[in-house]
Amino acid sequence: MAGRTPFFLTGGNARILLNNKTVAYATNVTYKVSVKHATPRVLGRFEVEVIQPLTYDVTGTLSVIRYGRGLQSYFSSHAPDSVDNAGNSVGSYGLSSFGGAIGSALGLPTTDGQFDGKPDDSFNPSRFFQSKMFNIEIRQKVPSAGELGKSGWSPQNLNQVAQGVGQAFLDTVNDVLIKDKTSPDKNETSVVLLRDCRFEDMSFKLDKRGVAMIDLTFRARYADGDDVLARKSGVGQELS
Amino acid sequence: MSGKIKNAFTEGGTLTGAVSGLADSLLNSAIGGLSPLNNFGRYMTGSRAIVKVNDKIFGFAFGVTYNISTEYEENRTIDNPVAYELMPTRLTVSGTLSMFHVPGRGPTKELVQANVLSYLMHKYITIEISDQTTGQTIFKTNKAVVTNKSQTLQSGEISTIQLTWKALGWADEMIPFEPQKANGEKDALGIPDSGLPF
Repeated sequence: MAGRTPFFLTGGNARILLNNKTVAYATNVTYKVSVKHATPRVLGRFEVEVIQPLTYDVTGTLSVIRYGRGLQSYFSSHAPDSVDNAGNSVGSYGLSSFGGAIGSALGLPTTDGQFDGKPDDSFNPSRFFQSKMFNIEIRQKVPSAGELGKSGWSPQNLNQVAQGVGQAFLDTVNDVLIKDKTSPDKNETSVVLLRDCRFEDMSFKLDKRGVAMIDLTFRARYADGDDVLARKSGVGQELS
Repeated sequence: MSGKIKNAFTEGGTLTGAVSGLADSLLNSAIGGLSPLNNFGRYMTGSRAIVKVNDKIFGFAFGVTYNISTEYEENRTIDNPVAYELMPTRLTVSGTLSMFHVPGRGPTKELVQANVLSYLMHKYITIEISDQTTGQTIFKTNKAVVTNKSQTLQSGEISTIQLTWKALGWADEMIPFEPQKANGEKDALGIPDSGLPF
């Protein structure tokens, strides 16, 4: 239809973030939420009495085109900007800054509010004790808020200045309240946030006619969506 | 956050979102549980269970069993193929508690099991199992002791501890009470009354 902007989430307009960093050359992501149910049957009746939830599990896969480490020096200006010199396999998913590494070791949130995990330690046996759960986020690129008619605030008179200060205060309070907040830019929106993940399997694949791929499978504790947040189910036995 | 697209991520974390979610939960638990029209899962499951020891949530428990034995002995008499009476002889309560082990937070540290010096004077513990959906007590005892602890540590598996316990008396959905007609009255079958209608 003329004048219509496509709005569906596709592979072409999606961005996958792991540990709040873009996963370069990701080709595929899937996840599945499984709720195991009991179906108690009683004597004298054919159908089940009730369908009773028992457990909640989230599993998924992530596939990435694998490229080598240290390629920038070989290709210099010919390499795309997004080619990280550290490569793009699991071991490169860690923090790049020393301050961030200290904060992560202490369990502190990073500057953008994310509680940083340690996915880069997922397949290093000597680091299993230190490896931490991390988040995987799926975002959709959209026209910027300004283009949608929700232009950002700009001070024009005293009334607007007061509103702006109030809004800034509310935004700060709200940001503090959200532990696992997503922080997409204005030209994208968060669709799925898989919280507290760990990689379970990694398989490497290379054949004569294709590019090298790594396929990862993971488990998560919660799958949040833009429609609903998967909240904790109650008081569990983890507290004493 | 202003200027960004509103969705569950942003609204769920806001003050208004939190208040709205809290109000929704309160409404559901206060009114929803009363309505006979709601078809909630009514059967007890492990994921609904809360286990408390000494009135504190018992850390990292993943299983609990209990056994209540109300033993009766048959009073057999000559020239009667049917026992004359079933004589109450012994009432025993015992069970197990299974948990994951977090080093430094084991059952001895929580004073649940006696140690070598407190063994002769260790206080009774309380054990309570309840349903967090309805708040019903499933089992409770105020006088229990841990009689055995066994721990498994195996390569490739998570370590578990199983405690075995014994208790004096118990309560559950029914608070124990004296029989209402325990004065030797007999019912229509000539059986001494048990206190409850047949």
